[in-house]
Amino acid sequence: MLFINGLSVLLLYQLMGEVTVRWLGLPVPGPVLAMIMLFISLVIKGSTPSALQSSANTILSHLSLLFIPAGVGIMVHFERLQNEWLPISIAVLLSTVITLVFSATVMLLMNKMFNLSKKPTEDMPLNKSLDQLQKELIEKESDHG
Amino acid sequence: MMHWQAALSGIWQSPYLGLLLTLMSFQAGLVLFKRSGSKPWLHPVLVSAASLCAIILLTDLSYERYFESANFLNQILGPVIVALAIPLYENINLLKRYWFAFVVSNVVGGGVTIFMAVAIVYLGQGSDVSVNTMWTKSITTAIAIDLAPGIGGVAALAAALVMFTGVFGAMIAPSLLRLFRINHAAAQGTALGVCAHAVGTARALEMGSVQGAFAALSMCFMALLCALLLPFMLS
Repeated sequence: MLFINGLSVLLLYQLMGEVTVRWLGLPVPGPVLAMIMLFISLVIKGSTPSALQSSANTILSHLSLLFIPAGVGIMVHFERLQNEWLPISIAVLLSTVITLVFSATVMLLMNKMFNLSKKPTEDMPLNKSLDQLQKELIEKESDHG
Repeated sequence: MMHWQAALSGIWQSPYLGLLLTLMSFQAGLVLFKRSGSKPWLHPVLVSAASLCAIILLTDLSYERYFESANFLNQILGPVIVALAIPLYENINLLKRYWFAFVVSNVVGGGVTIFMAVAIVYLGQGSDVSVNTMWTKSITTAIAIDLAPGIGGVAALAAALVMFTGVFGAMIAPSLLRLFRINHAAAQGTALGVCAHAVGTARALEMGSVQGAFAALSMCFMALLCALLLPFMLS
């Protein structure tokens, strides 16, 4: 029953998203707008209702199953891949390697800059370093055994 | 007297055949994935989609008939995208504290990966459809296939590109991060989420809970950013 209640909520939000997108003529996909609406509702409410939690857990844990039919659709585009496999593969391989290192480095740098400009104190939780967060989380985890 | 042939053709003609084959091949893929010690290149979606392609090519089951039957899975992607709001909300405390470093590395990192991929395909004389689809390369599949047709791309190609990117990213991330001595949990997680979305998030969860949380957050954030910006930029 919980699962069905949660699913109804998700579908209701999707409907609201789709209707709003059409109504305002937005180019954004309806489900994405619905996701933002749900996120804002949760922030306002302050907690996740257990019904929503249970259906979300169930459908998100089997997320990758849903991509298969779309993935099989690639066989309709075999010819395109045959003609363009070289630029496509180079694009994917190169951009993935560079961005992995690049975005990790940016995150590290941003963190260092924060620490140089402002000393983290208890009054400024927003500027606490990521290292501290990591330690806190590890401590928290070990507290729970 | 038994009617073997009638029974067999009954199975073959069933409207549920495509759905059943998808579920079974996915389960077989999951078993294979676990037995192999979670090798990213044996990702269940890859194994399952490849074996379904083989079945469709080798038998008289047509792609149209398969898709009609398995379309149900495609249709429930909508509520699944809506459900992504929940993990995003659950991690809101991490986001509140580190929003600045997080947002900057997502926007800059995501921008670099997408523009670079699009530029390479464009310069390599790829077709317009491939160039347009390339924009969706680093967003999680659910949103990529929803977005691709609206910006002049193709959903199936988007699904394949996203999968390829995710599997490759998850495969090389550990050794690449070691090579560049990035041993910061939050940075590792963010990088995996930006580049390799859902597959990367699964990999990040294996590295630790902080990595997992940041990867999930990056995945949702990137998807949201692209879904909001790309349609305005390209249509």
